[in-house]
Amino acid sequence: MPVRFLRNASELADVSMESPLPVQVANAKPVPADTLLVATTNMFLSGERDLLGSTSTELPTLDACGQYRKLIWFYFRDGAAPTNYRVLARATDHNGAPLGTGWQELATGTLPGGANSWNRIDIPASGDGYYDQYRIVVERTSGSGYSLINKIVGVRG
Amino acid sequence: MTPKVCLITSNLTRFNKAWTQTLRHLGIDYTLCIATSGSASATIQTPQGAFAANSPDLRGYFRQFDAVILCDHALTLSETAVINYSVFWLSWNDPEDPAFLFFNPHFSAAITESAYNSNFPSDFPIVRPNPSDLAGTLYAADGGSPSAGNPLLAGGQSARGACIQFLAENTRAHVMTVCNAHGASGFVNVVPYYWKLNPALHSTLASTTYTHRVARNGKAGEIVAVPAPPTNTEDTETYPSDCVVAYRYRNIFWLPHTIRNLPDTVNLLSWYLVSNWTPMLFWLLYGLQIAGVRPRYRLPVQMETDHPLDSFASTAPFNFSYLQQMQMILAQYDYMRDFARGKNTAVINGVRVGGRHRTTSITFHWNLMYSTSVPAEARAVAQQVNQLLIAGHREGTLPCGVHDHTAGNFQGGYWLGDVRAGFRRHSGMRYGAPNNVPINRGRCCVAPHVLPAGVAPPNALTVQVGDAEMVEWDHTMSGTGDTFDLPLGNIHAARIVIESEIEEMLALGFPDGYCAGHKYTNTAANASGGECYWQALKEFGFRGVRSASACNDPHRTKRVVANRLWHGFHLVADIGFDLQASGAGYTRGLYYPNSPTEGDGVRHWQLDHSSDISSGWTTNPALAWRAYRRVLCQGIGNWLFATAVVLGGFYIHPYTNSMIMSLSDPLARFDGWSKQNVIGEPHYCHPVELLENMDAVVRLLPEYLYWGTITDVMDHRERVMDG
Amino acid sequence: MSAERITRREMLKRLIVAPIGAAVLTTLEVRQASAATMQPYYDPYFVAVLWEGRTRCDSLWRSLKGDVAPILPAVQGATPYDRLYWTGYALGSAPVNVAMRVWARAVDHNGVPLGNGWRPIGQATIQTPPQRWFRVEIPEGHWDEYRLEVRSATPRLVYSRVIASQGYWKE
Repeated sequence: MPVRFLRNASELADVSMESPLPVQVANAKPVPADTLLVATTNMFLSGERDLLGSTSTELPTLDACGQYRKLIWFYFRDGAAPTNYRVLARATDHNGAPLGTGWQELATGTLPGGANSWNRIDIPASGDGYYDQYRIVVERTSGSGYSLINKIVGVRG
Repeated sequence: MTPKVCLITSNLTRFNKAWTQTLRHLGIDYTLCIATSGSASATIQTPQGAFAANSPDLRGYFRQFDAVILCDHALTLSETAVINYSVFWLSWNDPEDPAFLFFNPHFSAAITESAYNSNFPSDFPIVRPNPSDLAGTLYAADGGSPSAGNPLLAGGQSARGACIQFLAENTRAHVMTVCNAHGASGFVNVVPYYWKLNPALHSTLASTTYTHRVARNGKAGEIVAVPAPPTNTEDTETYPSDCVVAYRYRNIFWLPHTIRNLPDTVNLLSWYLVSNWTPMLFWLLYGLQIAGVRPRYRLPVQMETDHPLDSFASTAPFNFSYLQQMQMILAQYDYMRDFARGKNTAVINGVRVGGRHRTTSITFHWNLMYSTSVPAEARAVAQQVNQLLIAGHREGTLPCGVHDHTAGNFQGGYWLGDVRAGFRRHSGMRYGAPNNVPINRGRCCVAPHVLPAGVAPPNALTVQVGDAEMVEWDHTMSGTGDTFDLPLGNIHAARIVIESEIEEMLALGFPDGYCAGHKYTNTAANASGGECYWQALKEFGFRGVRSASACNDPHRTKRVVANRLWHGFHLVADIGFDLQASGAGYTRGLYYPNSPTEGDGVRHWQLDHSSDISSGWTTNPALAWRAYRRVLCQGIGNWLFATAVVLGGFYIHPYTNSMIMSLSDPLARFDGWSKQNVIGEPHYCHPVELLENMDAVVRLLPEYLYWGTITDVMDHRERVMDG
Repeated sequence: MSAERITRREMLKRLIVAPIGAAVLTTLEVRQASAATMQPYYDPYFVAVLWEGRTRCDSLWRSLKGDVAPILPAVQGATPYDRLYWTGYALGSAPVNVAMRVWARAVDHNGVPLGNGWRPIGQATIQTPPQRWFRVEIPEGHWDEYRLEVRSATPRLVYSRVIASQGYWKE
């Protein structure tokens, strides 16, 4: 039994590629910014690790990000211990395979902010992103451990 | 009525996002209010204004909610101000007042604030814990030994054990229970405790008429739950009659610990650290239910298994033959089929394919049935298991899907190793021999809308992976043979691999390779590969798969997409619970003195608190019951975390937990040393214990949980997920 | 497949006899009636009004909504916007300054702030008269929530609106 609909008020048409069912999308609207990550990084541990706690150097923190012009890394830190950060990025092919090993380093520096402070870092700091994978790593270099609570938003357009 | 609760915390930095994640999944609306401090003089900041904790305005504000939930807790009894502001609410007991839910409430005698002590109800029937007189005010729980850290901070490991009797429901359940905890510091060597009742005060309350919608027995006081008495005399861990773990004082619920107060977040619908799990979630669900909060949604409970047919070489200490292993497997799946039929659930099974074409190892499903390296009598039972699975698949009780550890160079899942040397494919169908098909993406890949006319040769292919549509040419081809080196990180390889797996399922007798109507499978090594595999799985009709966050382990160059939903394709989080680490092979028991590293349940899940199991296992039979309680509390706790917080897939490998079963009575319930296995250690049947104990929890929470299927899980993910 | 011309009466008869079936199609071809949802990009300077209203301004730091509870935002759901503009008019005849400050924070996907407090974006003082009109540019966009506060030594009304824009300019 084919699916049929009334077209032009008086024609019964079968649904087909040439005669598709006219619909209106409800409750679905593309938005300019997506929340990509909400995660707490345990800065009581030593060594460089990504925001999700991984020390696997080839493992991205975020994948399939090619549609985003930039990412914004918001974070709240409840301690002030000196911390380095690096933002790494790379492209993949359309199957998701990285084009090569290693990463392009987009940014590096000392993580801004004191104890109980809110901060943000734009990725990239200037220009456009559109990388497919990002790896964001942090490392506490001295002082006492603390919790780093992160949110990353991907912005289109 | 819309279910609505108020959450009270004094510190957003320490507020655990699992509270709101769980409520969101249940469809319970919530409002977060902030207390300006932990003292009785705190102001409560609400969207309608800032109110003194004892103000009529605040009381009026609270009356719009079904329940008010106190989220902050202490780590030890020595703290002096945690939720002191709530003391006034203990006297807000009118029928219009909401229920108040206290979890691991801090009402210690160490509180010196006069406003707290003078307003604490004189008829409150639970003795206030005193860190200077622990023995006189509390009962040490679960053997009384300290955890290495703090039992309140237990995550996916380090659970404390308990079996709790719920009096009104007349039901026993193994749920992790810590009423209060105390140690010299909050983070090291902390002991769990249960409460001590004042029988005289309780007796007065229990005979006082009280009207409130949550007073189900119409009285002002009710013992809700107590430690369950043992079922075997060898279990000597008993508690006096005045020991309680949950109590209702008018409209106030005094409940054990649930979600810990640390800045843990849940990354959308993923998890990434075992220490972030919430194994005591049961008490939040139970508290909400007895407070009369009716959620919009109930949560589906389901279980999966990996490798229904698999085996080990016969080794000490069990020396099980292949026949014995197959018999134990058959018994377990027979039981699971019956259970699923009776509870209207479906136990998903990932069939270990690859044995037909790519390996002769007799740890694979096909070879256990057909290889002459397996003794004939064992093969016969393996074929019975296969028939049982096919029947279960068709009737919906044991749906089976592909689960291929031979796709990569390692014993893992999809995309293992860049190139799978000597990959042997199937014959026939679309991508099998002798069809000459691409095995890698084309040397040139150009988007069709920018491709100049006449550039692509006639044999160019259009390939779509998600949004990316490419015209490809200059492919490496398979040739007509069945064996070649296969680069795994592309959609052409994915199609070959997946079709080969499905072909084997069809040859085994299954009608499909994706769990029938569920269109799902659990992936080998929880490695779902990446966008090309997700695209290929979608093409073959899959709706979703189970996947780790790092989805091409151990290559580890891919993560699942942030919200685990890729173009409508589900990537369900993985929560496994076996009684040993994968490196240990099979489990030696709940505990076994001569286990290899992480080779038994207690070792693998870090349950040997202060060596209080290992140090007396051979001399104190009660310790078998202690191990049993802790293992079950950890398992049930992790399963509830998968169900309520991450909407994930909870799974076991029955075959790795098989040899500790009694050969003569494999499906019997655990009975300590009274029922033993072949090596004279306590018998234990993993699927029976997990399913029966979770069933007790489901029966205790009829408004919050139900036995469902993976389809229900995926449906619910679509219902509640953001973005 | 074909189409046939049919009267409404005839259509109803056919529906009664053989209702449109729920045929099991693997994909149902559809055409989106609302073309806007198909746009792969957005108008570059899309602007939204996030708040408009009057604030009774006194010696306490009050949000635009009038509350003195520091945990409460003035605007929520501001994630998509690159920039915010706060424009308004301070009523009152006495030459008294209006102090204003802007805070921001991020929340998780369930709406819970990541931590305590706020990030200070900036503080300013509007001197009146002659500048009764004011405008504040908030260059840090994409925070989820903002709290905008005003204070004045003499009670007065501030009538303002907060506008946000999506899209970007090449830096």
